[in-house]
Amino acid sequence: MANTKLMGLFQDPEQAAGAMTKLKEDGFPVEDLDVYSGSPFPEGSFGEHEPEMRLYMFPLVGALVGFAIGLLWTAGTQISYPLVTGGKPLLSIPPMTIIMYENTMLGAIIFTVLGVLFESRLPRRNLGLYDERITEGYIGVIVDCPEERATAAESALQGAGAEEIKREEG
Amino acid sequence: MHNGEHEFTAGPLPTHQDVARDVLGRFQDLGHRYWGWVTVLAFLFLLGIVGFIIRLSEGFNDENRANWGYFVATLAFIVTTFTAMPVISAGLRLAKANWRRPLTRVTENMAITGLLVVLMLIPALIALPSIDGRLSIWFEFPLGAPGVWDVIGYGTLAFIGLALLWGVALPDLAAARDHLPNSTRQRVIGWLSLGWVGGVRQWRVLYQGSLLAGAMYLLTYPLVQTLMISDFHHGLIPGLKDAIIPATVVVNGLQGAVGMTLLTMYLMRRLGNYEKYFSVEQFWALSKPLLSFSLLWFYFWWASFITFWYGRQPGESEVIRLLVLDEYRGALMISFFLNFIGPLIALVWNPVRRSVWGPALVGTGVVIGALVNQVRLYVSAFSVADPSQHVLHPRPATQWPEAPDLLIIVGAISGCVLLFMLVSKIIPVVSIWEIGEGLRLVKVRRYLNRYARVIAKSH
Repeated sequence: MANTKLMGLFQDPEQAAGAMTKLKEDGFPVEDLDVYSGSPFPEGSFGEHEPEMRLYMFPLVGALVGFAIGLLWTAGTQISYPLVTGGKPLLSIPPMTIIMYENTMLGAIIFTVLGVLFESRLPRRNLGLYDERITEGYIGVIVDCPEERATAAESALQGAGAEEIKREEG
Repeated sequence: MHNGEHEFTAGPLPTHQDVARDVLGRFQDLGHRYWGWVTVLAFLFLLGIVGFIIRLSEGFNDENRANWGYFVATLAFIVTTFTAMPVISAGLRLAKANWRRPLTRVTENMAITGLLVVLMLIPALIALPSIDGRLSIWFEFPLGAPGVWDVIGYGTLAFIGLALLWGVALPDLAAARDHLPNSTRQRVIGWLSLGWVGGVRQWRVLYQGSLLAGAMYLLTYPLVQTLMISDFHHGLIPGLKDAIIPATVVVNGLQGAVGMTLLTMYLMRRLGNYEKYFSVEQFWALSKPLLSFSLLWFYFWWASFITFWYGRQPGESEVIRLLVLDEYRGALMISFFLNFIGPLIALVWNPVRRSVWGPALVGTGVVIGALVNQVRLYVSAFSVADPSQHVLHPRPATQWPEAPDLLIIVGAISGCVLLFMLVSKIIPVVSIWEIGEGLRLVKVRRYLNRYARVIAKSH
């Protein structure tokens, strides 16, 4: 069955929070609700669903990969071509440390960028249901629901004081 | 609660919408004044390229290595000031300082200078003598040192800076995409916004990502400063064994970053009419770390100097004669005054700290002092004829700048400002979303016989 997306536009965050409460009371699952805003609100301000994210894993994995590459690169080349100089140890630890650190940071940032893009589902070619007033401070409450519940969602948004309601057929 | 010059009143604070309209209005306007400045800066940058080509035509031989001293000093100056600026926003965001909001974007936009730094690094590395037979942090490790690893280190910093700049600017790029009239510029901005809509997930990711990228910039900046001072200064002066010099240049970089931020904010107030964003609060707040870094400037310099002073080995005596007592004494004195004495005398006074002009004036002095100090450190090192000696002998004479050197200095600094101005027409120079978030957290309340500003803690 086709789903419908609705967006209620609110100038007042209090009204947007009220709309979220009403929608949840009316049985709309919190996972199907989203809030668009021009600046971040503290977690849970609208009673919204907190998305599960693992962004912190990306820099961690990237740092480990970078460190491993740095270690293999430096230690591997010195072990593969053993040139003992003046009886000193084969592995030259201080410069290896610098190179491993550089590679660790490089790996961490590359994976972080990839992580940010993946976790925030960017880039997206089509903005979908959206309104330009959101970047001016309006709040958009998004409801993703089956076609037959669209009227109930619309009346909940209307009842909470939405200035405008937009609709996108799935 | 009270900023000394402006008592808070019960009047309404601006809204997110007010800020968005104001910032985007200025952002949209590319007036004659803007293009006039861009033309002048582009011309000066071209002069710098002429100076560079003159130096390039003289080649990279060991005999004329000294010709590249001012080029490297300019590179070090950019790393110590412009490229250090994102450290300010990263640190203040981690510390959740509310007053940071209007100035974070200015400091992040300066990350673009990392590109110029990487480009300038390549000839600087070619001008370096071989690491064979001289002291170096690379020991006998031959695999591409120092060139490859310096480029990777500097490149990593530049990449982190650009990732930070772009990532944190996505919501404002989206605002510009939504509200600018249809044009090529608007389409480029729209493409750069990556389809940002401002959903809950996107904000959570942006918040964590900005902290992570900022922390990485903070962790990589000391590495770059360590490579700079080790490869282009410490390893070139026989007899110089200064264990704390990497820490010294990192602290100098933090001081330079604060100084350049104050100077940039002042110029944006005067030339860009951004008075309401860069108010006394920002200048006053930044003057405190500036005073701390100025005291640390002296502490680190003194800690290095006293080791050589009491050591008195022949090599050590020659080093302090070169860098402190004889050939570069004048440069040290200027830097000593502008980076330590001047800020100390001025910033201990509350009325100076609590003003726009006071911290801006001191910051300008700090920036000039930083340039002179880089000349002292790097021009002296590049003047040494044979870096493979055990003792510095003979000491090189003071090297004064020639016409190509002056062109390079002016051109490179103009290039940084030019890059900043160009990027500021793609990414708004004031962060709309961060100010918007901050405005929601602030309320002006009656407190006894006056009004006080109450700031909520987010997250």
